[in-house]
Amino acid sequence: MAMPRDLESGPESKTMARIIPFPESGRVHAMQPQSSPAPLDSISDDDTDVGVRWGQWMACAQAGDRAAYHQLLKDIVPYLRALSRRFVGNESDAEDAVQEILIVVHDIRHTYEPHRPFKPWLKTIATRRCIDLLRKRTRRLQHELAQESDHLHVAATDATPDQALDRSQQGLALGAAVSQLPARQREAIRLLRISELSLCEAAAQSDQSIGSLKVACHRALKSLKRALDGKDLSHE
Amino acid sequence: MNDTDSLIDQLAKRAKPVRPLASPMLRTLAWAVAAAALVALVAASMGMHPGLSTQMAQAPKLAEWIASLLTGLLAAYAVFQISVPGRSPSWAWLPALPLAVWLASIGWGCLADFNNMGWAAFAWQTHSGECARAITAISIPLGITLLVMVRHAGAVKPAPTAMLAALSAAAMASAGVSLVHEGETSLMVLLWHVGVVALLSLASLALGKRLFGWIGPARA
Repeated sequence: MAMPRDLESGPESKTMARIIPFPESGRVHAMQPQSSPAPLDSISDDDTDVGVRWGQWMACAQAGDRAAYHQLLKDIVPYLRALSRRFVGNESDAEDAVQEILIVVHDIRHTYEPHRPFKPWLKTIATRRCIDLLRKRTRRLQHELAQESDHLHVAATDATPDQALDRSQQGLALGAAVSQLPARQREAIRLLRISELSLCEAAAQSDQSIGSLKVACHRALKSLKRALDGKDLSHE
Repeated sequence: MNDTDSLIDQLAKRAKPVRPLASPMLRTLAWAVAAAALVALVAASMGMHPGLSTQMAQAPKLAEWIASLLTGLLAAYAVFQISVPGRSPSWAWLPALPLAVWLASIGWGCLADFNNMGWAAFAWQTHSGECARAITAISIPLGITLLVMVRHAGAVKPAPTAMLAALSAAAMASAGVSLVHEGETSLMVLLWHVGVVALLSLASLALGKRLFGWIGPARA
């Protein structure tokens, strides 16, 4: 569900859709999303007007007004994107989170109660999905680290017990440092250094270009060097 | 057009009219009627125990039974509250008071039994294990019904919702079983009734996400 990179830095991702008047049912399709420049910081739970309009649109959507529903989903995306970024940190994971949230919103839209505020309803769903995504990411990372530890263990079998212990400790420290890297750098390290793929092979398996992978790998190695400063990495 | 935009287009195209949820009170009533019907069916098939009227004439026993019933009802109401996104999670504490009263009245019963029977009040009664089996057998369909009614909670608060659903179902089942089973000391009630309620609730807390995964996601 990754989004093209060139769109992530577009104006839509940095602005919040302006409050637009609540349309009459059946007229929403004629309205164009307005790209007025409200900063992301303005997205707050106190923004009750926005919440009221979203609630009204959702009530129309529950009654079968697809145009109102389409407008609502378009309108909540910047809010969800800002919220997701706070949780997951990077752009591509945040966009995945936004899409997952939209699917859940669609699936359980009948649980919105029209007489109650919309924003707490949306925020609860969004927060829960982001937490789930973070948990999934942590589990995936732990799995990858476990695999890396296995590799280190195999490589250390011809060493003396002291050397093996030393290598094992260094491996754990390296694994922990890798886990602290941003997702794109971690992916570059995993593909280029751990799986030892060529740049072309790595780019084919990733949504990053060859240039991005090179930069991410270079930055990752610098970060790892800083993180492991003073530790002997000769076995690397 | 990016992936998110096309997803929005698809979702909007697929959107059909949906009926918003009924109020938590109405849904609690609907579930309570279903639970009462099942318990009545069990009571009718097994027969009320003959000493029921005498037992219910004793204030502590009556308080114990009412507290178990209230625990079940208020836990169900809490389930219908916390399973809705945006409603306060503090509703989860709603059954705490009747639960405390239930435990306290059983504790009081243990002391009263000891006063009347001496150390025999703490004797092991193997036949009381039937209660645990009956409570489990009634709780499972009741609990599943409740979870199906709030399956949208799988995307919001799976673990606490599943725990409260199990607490509700098991407490209602315990109240029902108390009508047909007799001759137990309060210690056995504590062990088999409360023990099963606690076990089912904690198991549901631990397996909440899997339970909702097994039931399947909500689809408006």
